[in-house]
Amino acid sequence: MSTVASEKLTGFADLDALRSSIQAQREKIETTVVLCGGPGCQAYGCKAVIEAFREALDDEGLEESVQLRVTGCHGFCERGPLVVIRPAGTFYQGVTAEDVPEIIQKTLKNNQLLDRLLYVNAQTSQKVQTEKEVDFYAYQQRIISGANEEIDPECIEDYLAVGGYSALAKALSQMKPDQIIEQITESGLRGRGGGGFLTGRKWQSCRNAQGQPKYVLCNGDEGDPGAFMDRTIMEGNPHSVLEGMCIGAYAIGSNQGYIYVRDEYPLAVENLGIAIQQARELGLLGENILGSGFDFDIRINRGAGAFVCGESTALMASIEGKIGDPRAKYIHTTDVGLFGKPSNLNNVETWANVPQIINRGPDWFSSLGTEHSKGTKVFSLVGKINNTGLVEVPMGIILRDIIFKIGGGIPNGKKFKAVQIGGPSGGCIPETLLDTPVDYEQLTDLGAMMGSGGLIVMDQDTCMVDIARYFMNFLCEESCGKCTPCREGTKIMLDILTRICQGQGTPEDMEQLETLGEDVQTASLCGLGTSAPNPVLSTLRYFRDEYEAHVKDKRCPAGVCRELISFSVTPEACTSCSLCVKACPVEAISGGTRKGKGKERTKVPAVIDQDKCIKCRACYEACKFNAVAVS
Amino acid sequence: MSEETTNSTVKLSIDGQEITVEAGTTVLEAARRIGIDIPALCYHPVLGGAGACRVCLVEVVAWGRRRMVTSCVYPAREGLEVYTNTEKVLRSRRAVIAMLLAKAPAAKVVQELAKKYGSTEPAYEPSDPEARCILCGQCVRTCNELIKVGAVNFAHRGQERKVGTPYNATSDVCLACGACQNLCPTGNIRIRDKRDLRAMLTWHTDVPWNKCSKCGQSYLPARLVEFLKQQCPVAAELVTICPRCRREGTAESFVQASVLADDE
Ligand SMILES: Cc1cc2nc3c(=O)[nH]c(=O)nc-3n(C[C@H](O)[C@H](O)[C@H](O)COP(=O)(O)O)c2cc1C
Ligand code: SF4
Ligand code: FES
Repeated sequence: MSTVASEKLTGFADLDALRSSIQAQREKIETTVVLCGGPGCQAYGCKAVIEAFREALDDEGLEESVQLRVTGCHGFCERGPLVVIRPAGTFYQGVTAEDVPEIIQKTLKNNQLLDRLLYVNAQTSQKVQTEKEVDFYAYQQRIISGANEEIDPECIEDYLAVGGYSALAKALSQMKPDQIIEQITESGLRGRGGGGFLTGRKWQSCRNAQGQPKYVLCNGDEGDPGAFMDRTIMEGNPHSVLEGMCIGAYAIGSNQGYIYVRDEYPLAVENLGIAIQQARELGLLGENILGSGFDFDIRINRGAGAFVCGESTALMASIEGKIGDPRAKYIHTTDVGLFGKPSNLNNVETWANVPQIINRGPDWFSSLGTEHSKGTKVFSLVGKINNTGLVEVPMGIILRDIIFKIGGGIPNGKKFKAVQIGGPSGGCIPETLLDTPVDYEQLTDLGAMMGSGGLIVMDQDTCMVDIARYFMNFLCEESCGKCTPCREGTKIMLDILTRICQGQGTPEDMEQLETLGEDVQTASLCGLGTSAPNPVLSTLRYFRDEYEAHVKDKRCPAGVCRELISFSVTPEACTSCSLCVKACPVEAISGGTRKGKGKERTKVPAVIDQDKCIKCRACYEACKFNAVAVS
Repeated sequence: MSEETTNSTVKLSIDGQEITVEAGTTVLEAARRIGIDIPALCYHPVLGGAGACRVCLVEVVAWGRRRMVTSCVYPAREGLEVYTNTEKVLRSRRAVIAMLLAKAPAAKVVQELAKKYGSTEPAYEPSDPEARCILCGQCVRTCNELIKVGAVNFAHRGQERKVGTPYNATSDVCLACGACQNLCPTGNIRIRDKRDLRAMLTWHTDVPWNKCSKCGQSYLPARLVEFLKQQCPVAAELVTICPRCRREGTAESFVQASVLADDE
C-alpha cells in the first residue's frame, strides 16, 4: 500500500522531508486496525479475518477513517488470529471472520470491548484489554521484533514512519567506516546465527582483508526444525535487514550484498524482493545512495534446501552454483569467501540489530544483557508449552522465566522435563539448571548452545533417549557426507540409540556413545559434525538414569519407546465411556461399554488385548479419566 | 637456526623439528618434506587436500590455542607448532580409520592404515564387504578441476552420498580418459578395454575407440581425441594418429631431416 509517491531521494534532507510528510499524513488517521498476517496466524485462518475486515470497512464506508494494516508475526502465535486496535491498543485474540462485524459495530464505532475476545492472563485469571498487559509480552523486550506491528512489510512508508533508514542516513552522513565498526564492536553485538562471533571484529577483518570486490552476505537459511525467528524478520520487517546490510557494507567497503533465503520461505523471498525494489526506487539502494557517493545493491539467492547450506562455506558454495558442501575455514571467509573474495556473512537477526545500535548508540545496547552477551535474543518457543510463539528477551534472562512467565508453563498440568536450546544440535537442559541465564558462554558450558534461537520444551511424557535419537536421525540425514566422522559417526550413534530404544542396548553402548561423541566432535570438518553429538552427550549427562532404565531394566520411564511399554486399563478408574474403544485402530479393546438398562445398568471396564495392541498411544490420548496406564 | 624467514617463507616446528617453507605450503607437505609421515587419503600432490577423509589430523598450537586440524589443508604459519603423534591425534585417527574400514572394507589402503594404526576392527558391521569407495572425492576433483569435464560428481547427502555420473546414467561427456582411475587411492574405479570400446564400468559409460588415420588401429577413446583436438588445435593432426604410427612418422622425418642435412 503506497500512500506517498516520491521521486528518488538524492540527499539526506530529502529523506527527512519525506519522512515528515509521511508522519504528518499518518497523524490524521484516527484508527488503525492491525492484523497479524504471520505464519502462525495464517495457520489459524487470519486470511479470512483480513478479508472480512476489508469488506466490512468498505460496506460501512469506513475505509477512509480506519486504516487496515496487515503485518508480519506479532509473536503470540498460540492465540492467533491476533487483532490490535490503535490508538487504544485493544488486543483481541482468537478472532474469526464472524467476529468482525461486531468488532466494527461495538469497538470501532462505540468504543465497547468484546469481552469474549480479550485475553485472560494465566497467572491472575484476569482479563486484560491491551497488549502491554498480556503476560506473554510483559517480560519481553522487543527491540527487533516489536516493529513488526507497525509495519506492513510491503509498504516502505510504514518503515520510514517509524524512523526507518535514519540509521543509514546517520552512518553515511556523519560517520566514517572505522567509527561504525568501532561502535558495533563496543556494543558487544555477537552473531545470532549460532557461533556468537563478535560482529564488529568480523567486520574489521573483512575491512582489513586484501582483495576486491568484497561482499556482504545475509544468512536466511534457517534450517532448524521448528525455528521461525529469521523468517519473521524477513517476512515482517525486510527493510530492517536491508538497512543493516547497507550500513555494514559501507563500513566494510563492499558494494554488493547477497541474501540467502531458505527455499521453503517464498513469502520472505517475495517481501524482501519488494523491499529491495522499493529501496532502489527511493535511492536507498543502488548507485550514489542518498547522494553520498556510496553504491550498494542486494541480490536474493534461494537456498538449496539442505540444513548444511546454512553453514558459511557451504552457503557460499551454494551461491556460486556449486554443491553446498562445507570446506575447512583455516583461511577465513573474511579473507577468501564468496567467489574467492573477502566476504562478511551475518545472520538475519544480527543485521536487523545494526540500525538500532547506530541510532541508539553502543552504550544503550550494551546496557542490555550480561557481561559478554549483549542486547536481546529472539527465540521460537515451541513444544510442550502453553504459549507457543516468538519471544524476544534481553540476554541474561533465566530460562525459567522464559518458560513459565512468558511461555505460561506446561499444558495439561504436566511436569516440565527439559528444554532443548540451540537447534537440532543444541543440548537438553534439565529442571535443576533452569535458573541459567541466556548467555553464550553459560549455555555452552552446560553442553548446550545459544544456536540461532530454537527453544523446544519437553514435558514428563518425553523420553530423553527417544529425543536424542530423534535429533541424531535429523543430523544423520542432514550430514552432507563429505567428511568421514560426521557421515559415519552420526549413523553409528543413531544405530546405537535406536537399539537402546528398542530395549536391545547394553551398558557398553552408553560408553561407546560417549567415546564416539567425542571423536565426532574433534574430528569433523564443519560445525554440523562438531556439534552433532550435543543432544546425545547432554542427555547422557543430565538424564543418565533414563538411559540406564532402558539398558538395564528394559524400561522406558516416560512410556514412549514402543518395544518397552504396554498399555492397560485401570478398571477402578474406567467409566466405560468407550472413547478408547473407538480410538483404537486395531480393535484391541473390548468392554468399555455399559450393559443393561435403568437400575440393572452395569459398567464393563475396558480391557486391552496385548497381542493385538500396536502401542500407538491412541487410547492413552483419548481417555479423559486417566484410566489408561503406560508401564 | 640462524636462517632468516622472509615474507614469503615461514618457519614452523613439526614434532620438535624446525622447518622453513614457502608461505601457502600445507602442514602435510611441510611434514613430508622432512620425512614425517602423516597418512592422507583425500590428498594428492596435484590436487591438494580436500579435508574430507580426516585421517591426516594433527594437533597445532597457533596463537596460544591448541586444536585439532587436518594437515592436508592447514597452511603453515610462522611460529606454528605441529604435533603429529600425540595420544589425542592417534585416538582420533584410529576412530576415523575404523569408520573407513567399515565403509570400505575391501580398500587396500584402508586395510594397511588400519594395520599400521592398530584399528583392525571396523567401527560397525560393514554392509558391503566388497565396498572400496571412501568418498575421498579424488575422481570428482580430477574430472572437474584437472580435466575440467565434470562427468562425475557427488550426489546425495550423508550415508547416501555417492560418486557417479548424474542420476547414475550413461555420461554424454565422459571422455573415458581414465585419469580418475589413476588418482583413485582405493582401486574402486573399474575400466575394461574391449575390442570396439572402452567401458568405464563404474560410470556406466562406453566410449568407442578412435581408429588411427594411418593404420586403422584402435588407440584412444574417440571422445578423448575430439577433446584433445579442441584443447590443442596445433596438435590436432598428431592426436588422430596412433602412438606407433606417430613414432614411425617421427623416425621417418628424422631420417629425412638427416638426409637433407647430409645433402647440404
Ligand atoms: C550446519 C550449520 C548450519 C547453520 N545454519 C545457519 C542458519 O540457518 N542460519 C544462520 O544464520 N547461521 C547458520 N549457521 C551459522 C553460520 O555458519 C554462520 O556462523 C553465521 O551465519 C554467521 O553469522 P553471525 O555471525 O551473524 O551469526 C549454521 C552453521 C552450521 C555449522
Ligand atoms: S561435519 Fe558433516 S556436514 Fe560438515 S563437512 Fe563433515 S560431513 Fe559434511
Ligand atoms: S588427507 Fe586430509 S582430510 Fe583427507
